[in-house]
Amino acid sequence: MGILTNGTPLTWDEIKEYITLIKSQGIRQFISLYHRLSNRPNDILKWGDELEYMVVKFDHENKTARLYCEVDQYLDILQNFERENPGASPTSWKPEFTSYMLEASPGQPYLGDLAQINSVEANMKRRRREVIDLLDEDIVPITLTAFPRLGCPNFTYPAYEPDTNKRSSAPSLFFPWEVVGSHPRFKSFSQNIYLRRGSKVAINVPVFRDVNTPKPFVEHLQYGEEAIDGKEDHIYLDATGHGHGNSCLQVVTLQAYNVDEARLLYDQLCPICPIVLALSAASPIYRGFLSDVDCRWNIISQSVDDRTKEERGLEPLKNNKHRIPKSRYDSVDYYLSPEGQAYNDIELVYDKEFCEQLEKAGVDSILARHIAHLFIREPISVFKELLEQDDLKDSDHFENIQSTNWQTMRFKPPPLDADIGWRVEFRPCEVQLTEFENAAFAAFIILLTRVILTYGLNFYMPISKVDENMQTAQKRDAVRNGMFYFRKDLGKGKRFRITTYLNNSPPDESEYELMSINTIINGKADGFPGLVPLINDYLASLSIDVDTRYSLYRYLSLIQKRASGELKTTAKWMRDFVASHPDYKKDSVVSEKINYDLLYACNEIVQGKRQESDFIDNMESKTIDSFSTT
Amino acid sequence: MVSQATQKLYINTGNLTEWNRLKGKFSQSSKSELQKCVDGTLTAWKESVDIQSLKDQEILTCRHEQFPSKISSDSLNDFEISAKIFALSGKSFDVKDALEQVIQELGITKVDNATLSLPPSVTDFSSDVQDIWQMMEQFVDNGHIQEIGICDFDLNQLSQLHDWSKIKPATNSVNLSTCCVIPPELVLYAKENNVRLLTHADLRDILDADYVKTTLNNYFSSENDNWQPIWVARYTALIKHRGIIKSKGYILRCDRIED
Repeated sequence: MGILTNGTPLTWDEIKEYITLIKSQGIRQFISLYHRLSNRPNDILKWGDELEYMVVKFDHENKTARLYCEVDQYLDILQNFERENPGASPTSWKPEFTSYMLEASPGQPYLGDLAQINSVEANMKRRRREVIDLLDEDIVPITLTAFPRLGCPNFTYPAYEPDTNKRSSAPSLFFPWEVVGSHPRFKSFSQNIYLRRGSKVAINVPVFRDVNTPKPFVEHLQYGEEAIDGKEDHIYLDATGHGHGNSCLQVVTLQAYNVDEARLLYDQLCPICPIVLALSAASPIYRGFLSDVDCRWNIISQSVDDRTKEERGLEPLKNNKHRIPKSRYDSVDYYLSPEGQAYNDIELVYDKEFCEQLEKAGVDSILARHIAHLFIREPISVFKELLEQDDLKDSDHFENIQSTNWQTMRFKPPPLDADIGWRVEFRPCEVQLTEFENAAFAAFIILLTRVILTYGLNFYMPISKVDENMQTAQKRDAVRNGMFYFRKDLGKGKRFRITTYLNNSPPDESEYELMSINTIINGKADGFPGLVPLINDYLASLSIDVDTRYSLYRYLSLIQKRASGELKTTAKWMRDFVASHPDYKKDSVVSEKINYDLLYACNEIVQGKRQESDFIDNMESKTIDSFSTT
Repeated sequence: MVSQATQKLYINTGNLTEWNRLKGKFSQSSKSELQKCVDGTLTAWKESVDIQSLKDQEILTCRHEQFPSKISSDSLNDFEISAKIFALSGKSFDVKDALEQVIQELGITKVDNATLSLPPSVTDFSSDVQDIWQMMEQFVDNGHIQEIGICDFDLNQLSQLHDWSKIKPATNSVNLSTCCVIPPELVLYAKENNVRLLTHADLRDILDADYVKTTLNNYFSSENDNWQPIWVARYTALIKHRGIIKSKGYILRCDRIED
């Protein structure tokens, strides 16, 4: 999550003095970056993934599963090999927002040949093994998007009390201050979001209404004034930790050939975000209650929402510059390629002065608007040591704003000091329990980008429709019940791409229609080709080694079956597990015992000790660790 | 009009990645893909030529002019060029013709890998197969092909080829959907003898005589009963390190067989 340099974080009052400096210098840094690197010579495909683990401690005697908040001690050991062998480590570890989380990515990027996709799963397995080797037997790393009882009493080990008395500057009814990670950036975030916003964040997750669920569900009223932002029939959460501590998201970053290809891929992947979100749905339970959503996206969005009342439109604008409709963590508002401009039908909030400044400096108007849109946000974590910047060598002020805009896609300019090109990051995916599934999603996305580039595919539709899809995607069982706007005719081939959209007429509504996830992924007999058949067509054109082809076959089979409903999503499996648990009282409550059994089952599945043939039917791939000789 | 004078017919699809192939039913097999491409090529070709001028040509070439597959010479190093020859007639001079056509179409001097696919009727390592392989070895000797490979050979056939050949097969491609589990003895043999096992998704009889007959009837309306498919070549130009297929196409040849 962002750039993690060590140092002294400024308080919010201190940051306020420097906001103008940081933002204007950040803009100048981007301009400088752009001039130096927009013509960066052609890059090959390199890509990577990020997995976040939550570490869980089981008490088999008392049947509890708690989040283990002492992972810091292991981080140093995990990072050791990379420190001593820079550029040659198979894995790379980082701290994350909470003291029970660890993040890991491959030590070296994967390259552009297909056989590399066959090493992803093995590398992911290696990462898990590295952690397991350090932990006691009853403590396990799990890649679960949302810990079901996060925020319930005693959800951690050691147990901590939530800070209801405002001893820290980020009070919460549920989330103890000690659980926020020890790296200064994370506590700084929590505090500054609270202070800037002027109140606790307010996360309201619609509760799942079961036979015995109280009607109305007004649990928040028991908490009095402290839960004033709670809503009826919703599960109320009130801390940044509920979002960033809940999100074990798995992200794919890939390097494009040049800046134009990066912008093209950014645009084409936008409409894919809600589809993958629905397919990967894995987080139906919050604070011990079954919710009516299957995904974490809105929860994280609300958990870092630092907008003031003025920005949210609750008070007239006086101290703030803009009315802002979205949290700084939310879906993309703006396509970046010239061909996409006709589809930008959301009114973009952006800083007009910055935009003018960028354009005057030679940045094209589309990109200028995008940067000026990112820069409506203020920095919420600043290190004293980084305040002074050398614009020839540093770009931290730009990165500060860039990396605290968390959108479904991220467009990443090259850093000044490394041999890295223009990249895009695909961010909506929920993390899955097993390496097999996570590798399958990564493979699907990477292969889809190759197919987009090979066939000149066009997924453009009004960006407001993509936003509608994002909301549809998060609903309970969206993968089976949801209908999603999607473009009908995916392209006339590469030659026709540019010319079609040079006239500025608004797009026709008949270009897109509502489709099920099954149609989008698997196609329809006499109509829409389907994303997986397109990928298979691409693969059939190439000679692929048998092991890689077998693994890809298995990965795509998982995606297909999740899309058709033949296999359950992780969220559906979790719901069914709770519903059929003997202790479950049909009241949406996930008790300690149910939580323990659920997490125990999750761990068994990962270890291959538990088969769930309607959830993951066949985990056999032929993945090969490309570092196996080390 | 395909006149009685015409003895050989070439059909050349040009670069398929430039086509709009997503209209209508999306073909799922290479056999139906090929048929769709042939139809598309012939339709485009017919609209663009003056039929009368072709009346007495012995060799007729129907090419999709709009999408040439030529690779520009300054970016050649970025590409991996592969060709698969379906040797439907089973004769070495026909395979030679196929390879030459591919090289000419792409405007290159060297194919990185060429793979040979034999029709289902070929079940053993016959002298015809040996002739074909020797001819392909010559292409390697002349620097026109980097590596040569074979398709759908079982352990028996592969070991015979490997033992007999001067230039050993670099690859053996198998169809995973027809043999989900590759016999472990084959895997072991391949590993020990440096033969890479690859996959393909094609049927060996990718073009049959019936289809040729029907198509020629549709497009050329003459007596076309005695045309035979001789070979099908599929080429791919992959941008290495980026996984993007820049060019992909089919060229095929049919001959009129004398009674």
